Amino acid sequence: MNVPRKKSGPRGGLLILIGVCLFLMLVSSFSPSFNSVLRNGVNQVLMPMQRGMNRVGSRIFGRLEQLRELNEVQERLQTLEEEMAVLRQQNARLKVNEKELNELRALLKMQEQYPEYKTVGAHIIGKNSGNYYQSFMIDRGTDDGVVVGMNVMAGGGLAGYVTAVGKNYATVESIINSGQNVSAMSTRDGSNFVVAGSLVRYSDGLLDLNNVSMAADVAVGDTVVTSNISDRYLPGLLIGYVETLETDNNQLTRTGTLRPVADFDNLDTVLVILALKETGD
Amino acid sequence: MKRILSYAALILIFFLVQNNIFAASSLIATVPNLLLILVFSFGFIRGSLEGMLIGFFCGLLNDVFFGDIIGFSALMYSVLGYGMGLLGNLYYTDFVNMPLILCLFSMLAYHIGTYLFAFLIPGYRGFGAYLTSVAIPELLYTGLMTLLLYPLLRKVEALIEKWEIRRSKDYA
Repeated sequence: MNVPRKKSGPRGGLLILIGVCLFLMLVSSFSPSFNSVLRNGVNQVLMPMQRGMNRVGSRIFGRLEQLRELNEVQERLQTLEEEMAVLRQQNARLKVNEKELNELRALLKMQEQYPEYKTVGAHIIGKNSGNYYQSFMIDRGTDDGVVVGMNVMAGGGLAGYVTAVGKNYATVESIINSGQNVSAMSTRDGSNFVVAGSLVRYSDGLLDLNNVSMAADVAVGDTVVTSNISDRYLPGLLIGYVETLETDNNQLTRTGTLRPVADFDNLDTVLVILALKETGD
Repeated sequence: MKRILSYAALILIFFLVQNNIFAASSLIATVPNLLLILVFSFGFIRGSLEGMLIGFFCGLLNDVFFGDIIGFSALMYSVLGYGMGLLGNLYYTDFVNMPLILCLFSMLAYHIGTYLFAFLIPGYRGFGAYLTSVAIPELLYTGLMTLLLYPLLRKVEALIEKWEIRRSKDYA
């Protein structure tokens, strides 16, 4: 069965391949349009197959997942019902507040700062298999009005933003990636800080919270939303809740962790917000 | 020709299973690197040329779909496939523990390469964290899959070889 082989490998061929790779790396890092052209081409062919495989996968694993989730869901139902009672009460109070706010706004002739955005729902059909880098592919593209830079929500919380888009698909980079920074603010006093993805925290399902000034009125359990000054994310999108908070050694700032609302382990469907942050340029 | 078609089919199947079934399921936290298994297995069994070419196309597919910079995985996989071909020349192919050792070697090389490229540039330090939270789990799962898939790939290889022999007999 064993065919005798040549003593040394085809070294020239390897050098050529390395050259091709280096060339591709160079071209793709300087011209993003080259990437999208290549992606689009390959996707036209592979998209139906990916969709099919995804369906097969969810059929295989769907049942198992359902069983596992049933227990969790029952527990959560209990807590959610309790939460709902609290929220109902809060909502009633907020409605009164909103009425008052609108009246005051009308007086001040201010525009609404947090308009309701148009969204489109999308299924996740593929995920990056690299275990250190979280990006995923959704089945909506330019045909549905998705463009690069749009924000993506999952389960009511910010999940990421669109980095590449084709006719019928888009790639989304998630905020839990190490190196991803989201400019955020506390809902209590509007103080700004940074929510950062971190490889170390990711396994616990947490994000880093950096640059919280000592003067800021932030406490554990506070709601954190995207800030007005972010150049990538629309203002007022829910990110999560403060989990821990500690004073830094320099006694000037605090750092901590944040529990995101979006459940990144069980992403299945997402909402793409069909609006782009206007940055003025 | 049949060989090339079989390789293309294998690459496609492995890619789809890895990214659209395994990675899309929430039950599997760490996705085994199936494409890597394909690359080092065929590199080892068939030699440098084929390892390198399969590596190139596997990497390219990965890059086109998910990479920021196209060509990086392709480069790593090609070099790996080539290196495994060289190893294949040195060692007896049917050695039982070989696939696991191959898997270990390739994963280590792959992760060190990825780390150097992807994590050092944005100023990310903590190699220890990368090792424990990413590299080692992936290594374990991939090792497990290697035990299942390596014998299977050897059978596929034997099948392709049979076709080729039959074909050359037809011509003769």
